[in-house]
Amino acid sequence: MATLSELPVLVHTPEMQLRNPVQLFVGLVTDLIRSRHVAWEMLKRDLKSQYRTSVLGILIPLLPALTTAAWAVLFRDAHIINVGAVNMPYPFFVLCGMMLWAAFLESIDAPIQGVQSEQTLLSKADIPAEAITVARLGQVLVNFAVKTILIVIAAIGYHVHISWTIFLAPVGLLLIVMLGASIGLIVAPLNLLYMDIAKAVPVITTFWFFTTPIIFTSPSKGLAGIIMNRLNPITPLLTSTRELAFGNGLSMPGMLEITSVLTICLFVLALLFHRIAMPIVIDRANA
Amino acid sequence: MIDDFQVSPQQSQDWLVKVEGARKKYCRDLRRSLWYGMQDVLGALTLRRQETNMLREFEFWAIDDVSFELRRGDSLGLLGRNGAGKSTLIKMISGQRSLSAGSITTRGRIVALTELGLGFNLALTGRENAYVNAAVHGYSREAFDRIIEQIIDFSGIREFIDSAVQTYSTGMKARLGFSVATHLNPDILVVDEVLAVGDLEFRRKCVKHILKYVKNGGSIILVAHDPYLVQSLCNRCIVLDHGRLIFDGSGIDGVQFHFEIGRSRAFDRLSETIEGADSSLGDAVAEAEAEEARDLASLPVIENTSLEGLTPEVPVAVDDIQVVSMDGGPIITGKTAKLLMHYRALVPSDITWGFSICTSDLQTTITSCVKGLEGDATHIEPGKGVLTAVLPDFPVQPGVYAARGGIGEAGSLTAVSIKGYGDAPHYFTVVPGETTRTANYKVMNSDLVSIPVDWKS
Repeated sequence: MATLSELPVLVHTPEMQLRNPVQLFVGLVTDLIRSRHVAWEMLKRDLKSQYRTSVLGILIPLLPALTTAAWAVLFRDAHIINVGAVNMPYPFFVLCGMMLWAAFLESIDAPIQGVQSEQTLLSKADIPAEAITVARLGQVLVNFAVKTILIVIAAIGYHVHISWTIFLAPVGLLLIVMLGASIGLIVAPLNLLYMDIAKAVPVITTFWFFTTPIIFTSPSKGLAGIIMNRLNPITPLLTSTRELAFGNGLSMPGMLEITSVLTICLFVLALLFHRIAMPIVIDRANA
Repeated sequence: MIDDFQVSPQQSQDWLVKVEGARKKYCRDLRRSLWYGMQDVLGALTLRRQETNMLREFEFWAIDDVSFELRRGDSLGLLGRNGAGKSTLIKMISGQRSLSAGSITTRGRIVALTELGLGFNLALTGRENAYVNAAVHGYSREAFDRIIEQIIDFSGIREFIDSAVQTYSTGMKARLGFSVATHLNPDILVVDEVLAVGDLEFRRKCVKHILKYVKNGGSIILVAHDPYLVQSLCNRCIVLDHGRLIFDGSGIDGVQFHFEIGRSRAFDRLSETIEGADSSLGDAVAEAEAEEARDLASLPVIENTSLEGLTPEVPVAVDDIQVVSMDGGPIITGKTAKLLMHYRALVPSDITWGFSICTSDLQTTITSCVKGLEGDATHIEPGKGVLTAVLPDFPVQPGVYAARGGIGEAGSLTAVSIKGYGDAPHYFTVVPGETTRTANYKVMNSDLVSIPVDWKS
């Protein structure tokens, strides 16, 4: 038996965590490190469960990307839609954009769905809520990795130009995931109280889809141009990641820099908000 | 078995859990509760602290100023009625719920068995789920590797351990969950209602395992709805009522106190119905009881001192029946008591008289005793008087009971005046004598009487 002084001490008080922001941040990092084993086990568990209980496998996640690409190619060729000048084979332009957008949407959803389905775990075990988000984001990344292997194989097969900077593309992906997760981390605790808050997310992201250069390049002039290029944070992240993989150099490095820094800051703030809000909400949620 | 010892609820050095002035608010109304949640989140962000000792509308104190210590090696039983705050307190200690005021400090690792199979996923095998469950409780893979085989043996489901949990029965899932949890060897084990799983054999195995854990120096907090477990496992006990701590002492005393509370509550309820409680009781059951009592009470209960109401046809009337102890203190089981019947008589009479003792719901008669049926009538003179019967070594067990009786005419052996049949009987409480496990055992089995036993072996 350990001596009394060796035992870890925990003090619970109703003190507001934000009174000491440094301690809050340190606590966040400590907890993330402390819970890495649980997050890892949950990730393994969810992946095993996902792949053991599915028969269509990877096909379903790829379907939106494939069908949208097919539609866009058809309609562009028929001159129904004008997609602007694209500096890589158009089908892959769309495919890549769709997959990155899908990763973004899944990252928003990861904390929201994760926290909702693990309410029992959160209310009955001593697990920091952030650990659940980390596990779910891991799942998003793994699923994305499986998709990219297929796409890269297809790209090689069709002799599409693969830029040597493709190895930097994961950084771009990570930023996209962080941006999505930030939104999810903020919505998640509120959604546990009022379950219709998360339903607003698809409405917003649908509009957001049409202001992001996924199936078309962004216009350089007019209000549309401003919205897409200057106000939409996903634009530089998504465009640059796509260019890093299949393009020739970056078209908006300045915006990329600013957006990356803002994304990282937002991610940290979102984690801190999540950490403060979750215990308050779990007390009252429907578990 | 745990030996109880003198417990002093004061400061000590080797505490593992120290609860000081803990309070927690809950909200009764769902919509309001969710809204307060929003307010609290915003408040946390803007550092605007809500007045801690104030209750907003619909809020109430689920835990109200609770303080106690759990020392190393203690097994602490937590008793209280449903809704007293036991589960809430446990969750606050394990860190699953925040406090509204006060502080809780813990030393060491706590595993709370508040739900088995935490983190389970049905598509995974029992073995895989065991690893997830262990991780959820904070155990590393290496540490768990060392004990996984022991756990599988203990659970008794080795042949199914590599099948998907989806195919398990509820009992199998419970056995697996419990086996994992009890082998984790934390510093503090918190057990809440989960010992009620599995068949009798498995339950016995679990209790033995927990006893071994305690013998090896582990500390337990046991939330029990079965006081028998508290008595056999716990050396200390605290009792909660409406969120407040009303008892902190040894295990056996705690169990006895818990029963006493139950008894005095039953007695209070009965007294209220006799006094013709109005419908401000609110409870539907109490409503019905009150109505019945009102009907009964509307029949005349002769209380005055004059001989009014007596006629040559009904020359004797029973005014009151009392069951009391010999010394005027509480009636103690096993000690001699006496029954008094107050009467008024118009003329000298030869009477039979008797009484019966029933359970408080008047459904079961424990015994009925009568004198005068064999020609041994009692003679009474006119005026007021008291008939006395001594009840040696009163064998009725602790509880609330009703006494009723009457006086009859010796010649015709017919009843002349009865009390407690058409009107309210006399309710009385029997309290236990010394506090022992045996005494508590009898109460737990709802014994009505105790019979003398000569244990030959």
